[in-house]
Amino acid sequence: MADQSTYPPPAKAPLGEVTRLLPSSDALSEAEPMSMQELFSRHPETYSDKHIDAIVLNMRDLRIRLEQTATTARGGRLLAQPRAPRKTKNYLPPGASMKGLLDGPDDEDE
Amino acid sequence: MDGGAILNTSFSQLLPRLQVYVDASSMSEFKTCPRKYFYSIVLGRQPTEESVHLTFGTLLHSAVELYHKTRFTKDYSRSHEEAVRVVVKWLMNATWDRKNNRPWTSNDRYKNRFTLVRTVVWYLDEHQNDILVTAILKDGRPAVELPFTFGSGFYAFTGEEFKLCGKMDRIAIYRPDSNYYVTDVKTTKSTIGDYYFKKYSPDNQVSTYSLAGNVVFGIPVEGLIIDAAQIAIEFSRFDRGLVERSQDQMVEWKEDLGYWLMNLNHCAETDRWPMNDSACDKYGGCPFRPVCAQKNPNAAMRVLEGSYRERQWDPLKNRYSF
Repeated sequence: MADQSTYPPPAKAPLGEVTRLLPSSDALSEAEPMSMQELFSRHPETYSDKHIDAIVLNMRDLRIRLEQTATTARGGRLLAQPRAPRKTKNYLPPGASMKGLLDGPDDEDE
Repeated sequence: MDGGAILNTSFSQLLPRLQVYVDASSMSEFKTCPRKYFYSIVLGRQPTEESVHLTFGTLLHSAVELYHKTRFTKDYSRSHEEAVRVVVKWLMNATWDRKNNRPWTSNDRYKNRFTLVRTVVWYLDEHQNDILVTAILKDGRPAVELPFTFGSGFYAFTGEEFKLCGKMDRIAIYRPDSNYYVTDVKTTKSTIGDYYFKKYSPDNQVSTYSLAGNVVFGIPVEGLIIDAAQIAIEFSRFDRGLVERSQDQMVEWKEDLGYWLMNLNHCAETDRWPMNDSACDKYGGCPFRPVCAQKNPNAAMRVLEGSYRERQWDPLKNRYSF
């Protein structure tokens, strides 16, 4: 997928530090399953909790990066906060009962 | 017209081509074009190519449903973090193509496995402290994926009453006023603005659910809250809108419903399903256009049976059967 090929972005480091930044073999083996490409091509039966954590964290990281880099869309917000719907209205008239709701679905035939 | 009817529990026991349990999707198909309805609902045929929108939407709904069940079931409540992980694990499994032993591959740049998981995680994070709280039913279950069936008050020529049926996403309590709302999640590739929500007025599904909220669940619902998710290549964005229905609108809609059900009744009785040839270009083009374009009914049936797979829509199960 196009998204994965650019994620995570390549580390930016001064040319002289490249050797120092190369991961050790241990670090590489630890890091490899955490790449999105690897995680998404794995058979799901092989997932451990660590892999699921990595997917969730990677997705969240992606969102944070987007928040930090993207400009707000024209006339909109980048990320919405939980809030009321665009229009609100009182649905229940005074004295209306919710009894039907609490009894309803259990009694409904499929 | 050739073509055998497929067993479907929503159809009449007396006349196999008469659908008596009618959901919003079936009715929308019929309203768009009776011939399209005949091919897709009565004969249960769909284009061989998978509809990525249907797959994406179904998985998104199921993921959100699982989250609410995991997080809000009485005596079984999990934290947001735990529930998100349960959902992601399920989602990765559900999007694994076991037949070909590979991930679900979508040719759509917007709606694919990666954007689905991303959308679900972002959506759940965004709404973790939502002011719309999932209602809890008397037995402790969260009020999500609620099936409903109720009489329409209109009768087919067989004597059977047409029943309206479907499945609501969720009933939620709006914290500030403690009122109850029916909510639904929709996806789109377009930017979400006021115009997006305007397309739901009028809308067959919103009206059906509004009526069901009143009749079945006893909630004075005048509309729905729609959680819209914009799916882009690089991001997902969410917005929420209230789509209202007045009492007058509902009265008119129900009167119109009678008209459409009588037409449905007439088509089944005569086994004639006219084409609405002004709808062929709608929604990116009707998938059955190659069938309708054939020079005679026999050729049309050959194309239908040869180029379209069986994929039955049964609203009482509310899922396609594969």
